[in-house]
Amino acid sequence: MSSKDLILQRVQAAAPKGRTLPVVEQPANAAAFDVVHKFTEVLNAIGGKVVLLLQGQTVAEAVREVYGEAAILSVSQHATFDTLPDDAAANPHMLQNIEVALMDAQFGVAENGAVWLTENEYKVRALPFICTHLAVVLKRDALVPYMHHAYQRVNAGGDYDFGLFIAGPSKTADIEQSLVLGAHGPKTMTVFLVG
Amino acid sequence: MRVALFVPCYVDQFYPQVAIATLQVLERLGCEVHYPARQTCCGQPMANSGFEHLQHGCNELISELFDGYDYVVGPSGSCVLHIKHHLHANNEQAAARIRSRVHEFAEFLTDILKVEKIEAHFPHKVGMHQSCHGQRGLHLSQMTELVAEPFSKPEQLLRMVEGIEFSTLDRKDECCGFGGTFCVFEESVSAKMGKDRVADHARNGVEVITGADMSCLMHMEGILRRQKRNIRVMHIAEILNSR
Amino acid sequence: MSVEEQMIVPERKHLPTGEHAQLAEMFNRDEDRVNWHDETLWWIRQKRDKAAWQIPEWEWLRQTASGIKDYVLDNLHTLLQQFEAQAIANGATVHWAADAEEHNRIVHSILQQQGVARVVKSKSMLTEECGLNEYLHEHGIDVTDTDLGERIVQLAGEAPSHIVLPCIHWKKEEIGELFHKYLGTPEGNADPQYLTGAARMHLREKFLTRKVAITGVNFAVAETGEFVVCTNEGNADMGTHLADVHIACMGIEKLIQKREHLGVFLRLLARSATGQPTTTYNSHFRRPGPGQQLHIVLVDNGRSKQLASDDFRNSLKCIRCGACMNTCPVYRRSGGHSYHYAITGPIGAILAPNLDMKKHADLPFASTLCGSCSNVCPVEIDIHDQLYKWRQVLSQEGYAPKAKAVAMRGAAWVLSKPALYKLGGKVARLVLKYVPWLAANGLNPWYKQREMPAPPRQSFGEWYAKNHKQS
Repeated sequence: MSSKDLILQRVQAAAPKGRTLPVVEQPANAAAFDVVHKFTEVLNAIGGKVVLLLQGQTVAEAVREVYGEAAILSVSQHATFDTLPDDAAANPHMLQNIEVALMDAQFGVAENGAVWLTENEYKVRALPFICTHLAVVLKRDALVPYMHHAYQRVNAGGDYDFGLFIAGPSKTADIEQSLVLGAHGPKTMTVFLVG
Repeated sequence: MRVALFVPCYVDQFYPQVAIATLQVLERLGCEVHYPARQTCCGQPMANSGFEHLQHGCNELISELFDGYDYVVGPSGSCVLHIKHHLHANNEQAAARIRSRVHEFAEFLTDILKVEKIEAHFPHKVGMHQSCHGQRGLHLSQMTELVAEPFSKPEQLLRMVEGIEFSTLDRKDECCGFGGTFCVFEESVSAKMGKDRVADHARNGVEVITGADMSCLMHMEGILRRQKRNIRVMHIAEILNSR
Repeated sequence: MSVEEQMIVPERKHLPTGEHAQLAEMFNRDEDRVNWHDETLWWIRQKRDKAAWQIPEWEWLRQTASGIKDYVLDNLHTLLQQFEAQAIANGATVHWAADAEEHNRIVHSILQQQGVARVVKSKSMLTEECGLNEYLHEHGIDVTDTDLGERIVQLAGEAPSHIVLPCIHWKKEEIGELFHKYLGTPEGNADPQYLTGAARMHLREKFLTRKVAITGVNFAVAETGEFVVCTNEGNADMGTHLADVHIACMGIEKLIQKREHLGVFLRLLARSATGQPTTTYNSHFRRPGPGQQLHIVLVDNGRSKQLASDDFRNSLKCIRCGACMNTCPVYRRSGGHSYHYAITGPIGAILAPNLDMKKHADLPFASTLCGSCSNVCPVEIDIHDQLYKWRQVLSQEGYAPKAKAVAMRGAAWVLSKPALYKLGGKVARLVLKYVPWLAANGLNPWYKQREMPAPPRQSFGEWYAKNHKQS
């Protein structure tokens, strides 16, 4: 008998109790808040930054202001900088010296300062990890309050091979609980709020 | 109302004043208190050590001695919790009756007698020790783990005492480390936990450590006396009985 | 050969053997260190409290997560098959391992197929449970643990001491010394920022050169065949997205039914673990990357046995957050290594005996049954009730120390006979009064750090008989 059959047989024999699934919906007593304000507050608290575009300012201008002369690779619909090499998806190692990567998020989650992106948009899985600084463009009206709403949007957003929530820069506190921003992923993460 | 007094074995033998205070407070509050003299122990020392199959002797005695009263009241959260959860006997109906009528002392006063006033005087600074089984098992007070409204039945009663002052502890409901036979089989951790509890009370200016379980207090008292600290332990019944 | 290639990583020392009580006693010899360890973990418990209190619906979340996991366990047979079918349709290869040995063989065989002798691995308690690192090492495979905490204990030749905070028992000066030895950082440098930067460079080289990445799985979704890996460091992603082969190892209980249920679990996980609203990365792997292979290894290793037990089934709901460890007053004062098992603390104590009762018979007794663990558990596992139940099982199976069994039988006998009990009590009080040294001596563990209780003149029973007339 294969291990699969053995395991399934044992699992089936383990006498399930026939319990029903609880109702999963956003409870009424959850706190209400302004999503932009909350998102900004939380992301700042976890080591990220939020930049609100000034009146008339373009994304490209706002991004340049933050990163100065650094080389910027963009896969964002909102700004053009250096572009991805054609074979980057097949050879992500070539991106190892990227300083700043700019990409678009589908939406953001206010309660935890996270943004959702998929490979469909930013093209190369490794990109938001291998760069030194991560920049993300997010529309203000694409903010939802809670993870409950987030998954409604994920489910409505079509198929993906790889998708993720990113909340701030990479970090660790493994050395005596001292928080260090910039572990193996980007050292900084900035969200540019547009619209 | 006819109340049977359950006295934990270590209170009977080493802290009789706690049982005396419990008896006196209950009587003063209008209860007709009976003391079944042949009682011994709730069986927890064996059960918590993995030997619940050996506690039938205790169970038989309890089901025989404590049936037929309106309530069974004991000055110990841990013993009462144990009886509530683990009392089974040949006379299962008696056991079921007792399980449904057994109360810890503080909860009996707040929930059944609904005491609103106590004539007692105790002008000292006390530290409230929230014994774990009473707190998390019987819900005598809210635990800090839960996102829920705070409350404390023992504290509610003690606040009726004239002159009493409460210290705020750094860790409100951390275990003291007694844990039954744990206190000897894991001596180093047990003693360290007790020392840390005592230090918390001492840091916060406590004169008297009080609680609803004498087992915790006995353990802390052992440490207090070894450290020659000027802090004493008293069961809440003793404070509620202070004039 | 670069400095990196020359570095010889120490072989993992075996997990300590011995009973929790003895190991805890050794841990307690350095009281300052115990205080430091205890205070650090208590601080993390407080961060968890702070995060939880910002969510009025926190207890609802716990109940809902618990209910979702109950449903999963009841329907595991169907959900496992659904997950496998979806994952295969997504282009993954799914393997089934009945036990730890088979898991290790499967992982190794994938590496052999690839002709690969060096891998990177992100945090996976499942692989710790199976002893994967040791197995691969024996077979000539170089494994680099890429989570910073795990890399630190790997360099030290130790096992992690906490399932989420692997080197919580290491001080920064000691880590500095370790990095000086293995990474060439300046002697005496204990700055966490600097040391992390050194680790970043050191591990980046591994990410860029290793062709196979092994990860764990936080949640696997039956409905879609995807799984989620949660990290703060981004090491799981740096490994997998730069590799040709991704091997994801998971216990069969890590399933959830629907993707939307992640909306409950991802709210609970990081807040319970460290007080963060979320881990930095929650990566949803659905299909292999371009040109990449994705292997998923489903592991039983005693889980189906635990599933069959009414008393202990709930332990399978665990999402490996570590909250129980952070709150446990015993864990904080004895350290993870005193639990001599890959999973430590309260949850370890109810999982380990299922696999080896003899080896882990001491663990359920390393507790006062205070119940704090059960009440921080995001999936409402009745940990302290299971600790009590394991005690009964272990004693019945004959794993109690003989002396204890004899003492308990003696106590039970005395306590069942009122006259004997009264006599015994009186004798004890007389001994304490007139020959105190019989109890107050070095052989009595109570007496080591505590005074004996002062013996009263009479018991309550005696007082009552003399002073109180029954009405």
